[in-house]
Amino acid sequence: MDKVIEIKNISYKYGAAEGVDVEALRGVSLDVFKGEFLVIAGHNGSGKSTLAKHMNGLLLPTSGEVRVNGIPTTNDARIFEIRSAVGMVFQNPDNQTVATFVEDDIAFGPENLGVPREEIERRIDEALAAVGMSGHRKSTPQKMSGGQKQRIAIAGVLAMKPRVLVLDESTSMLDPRGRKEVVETARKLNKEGITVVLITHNTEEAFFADRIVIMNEGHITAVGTPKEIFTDAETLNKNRLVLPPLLEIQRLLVIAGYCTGEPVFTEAELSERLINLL
Amino acid sequence: MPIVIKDLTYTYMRKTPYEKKALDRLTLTVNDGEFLCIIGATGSGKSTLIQHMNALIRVESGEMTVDDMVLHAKRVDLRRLRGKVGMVFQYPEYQLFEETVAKDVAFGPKNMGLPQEEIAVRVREAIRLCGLDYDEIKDRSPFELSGGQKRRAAIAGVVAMRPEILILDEPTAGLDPEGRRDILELARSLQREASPTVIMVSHNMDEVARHADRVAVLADGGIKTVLPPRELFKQEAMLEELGLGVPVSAKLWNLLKAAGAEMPLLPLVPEEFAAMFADYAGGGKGERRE
Repeated sequence: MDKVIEIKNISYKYGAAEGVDVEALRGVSLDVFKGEFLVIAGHNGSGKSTLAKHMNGLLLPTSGEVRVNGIPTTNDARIFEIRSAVGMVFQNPDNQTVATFVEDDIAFGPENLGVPREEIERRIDEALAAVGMSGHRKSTPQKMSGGQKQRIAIAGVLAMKPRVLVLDESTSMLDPRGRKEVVETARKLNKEGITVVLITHNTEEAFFADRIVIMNEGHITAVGTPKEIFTDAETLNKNRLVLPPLLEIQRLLVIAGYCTGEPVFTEAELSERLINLL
Repeated sequence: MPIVIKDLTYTYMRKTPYEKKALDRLTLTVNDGEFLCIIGATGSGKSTLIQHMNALIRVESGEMTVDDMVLHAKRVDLRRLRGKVGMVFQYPEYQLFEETVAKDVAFGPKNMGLPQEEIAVRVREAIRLCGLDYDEIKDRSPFELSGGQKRRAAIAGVVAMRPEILILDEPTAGLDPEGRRDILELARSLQREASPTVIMVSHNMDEVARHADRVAVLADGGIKTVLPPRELFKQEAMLEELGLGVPVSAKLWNLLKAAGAEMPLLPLVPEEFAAMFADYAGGGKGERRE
């Protein structure tokens, strides 16, 4: 499979100037494959967000190497290319818009790259359609819900025509509806061909991932499919994460002798299985 | 000391083109000693409602009393009210500002005009109640604490006023699973040891199901219903329509019921669901169900 991002044995230390020495990443290696939906899960302070910020050179490793499309992120001359290839949406929906109107906000990235006006217009329309916000060209981001603001931020990234979309805890400040909007948008974009890396501590968001990576204390401590990760409560607990309620119920039912076989990830499937037991 | 609210109406930006009715003849009683959760979609009036409870917003129309204090009266003793009703805002750690944790926690009691010795006692007690080590943390800058510790320190600042009613506006927002569990346990222990009545705004239905004695549902500036969670979460269609949803255990109960298998009680949390299902399936084995 094609690797879009290669992370080779990176470490990251900060705080040396202030006399503290924090090692946020300790020898992390990870490849991100073209077209996959990758979830990186971990508790606050596990290093997941630091890792994300290495994926487009926002942070550079203290040791080791990160390559995007084969280009090392230390290559200053090609950093624009790297940032266009790997777009990032952050945590706080209120900190990511720069313009009064949605269309200007989305145009900001491509304008800085010197994309011609007609092409920018086209990209604004496409990007808004892709996040389900077509009617909002002339709206004001400040007046939107958190989920809408994050979708506008995603549209801003899409206008750069990235290969990879990194959502760096982009759901953590949203209400359940907003969270659902963002995750569903990410899934849709992934189906249309964009590689998605979703950083989260809400394990529910990993149900439909191709691969889940779990981080703790600056290390990758587990990698697996949702079926593998969500049948291993012990590993989740050790990494200070929890089984989502739907999987916790299945775990308890298995112990009680009522539920066997592969885990399911929707309430409808579980209830069907339970009805058959009665 | 119950909170009694009758026909409370509040309009933002009155007499401007942006005029918006945030509360519309809202009526609600908060009982002594209960853990009341308030749920409602963004814009339903939750924040406006709780800001009335310690007079951050003054009553414009309608009636409201907190214990013996009449909030719709012309003059309200705000200092006394804010000693009774403690408010922890969303992301309270953003409001930390002092040089040390002890000074930050002391800010509230100081403003209440308490004597120095009393302030010292309260600060120590509040920090302990919030699960932090006073001696270890008192002289540290609040800004160098971990995320979870910061939030506890900010809550301690409210606890130090010894409120009888504690209002928490989405206290677990942005926290990881462990942080969420810790803060909810803190809310419960504060209810036991310091503030007998707790009002919590939350978007997380699993949290609401686990902790609420009663749940008030807000919609369009009014109270849609107030029910114990076991009753409320039977009404999945209504809650979905309001953009709220139900906890996973309740969703499963509703699905089973629709398929003809109605377990006698609605389970609120995974442990309950598993136990009740085992009971139900075990008791019913070999029997035909319609």
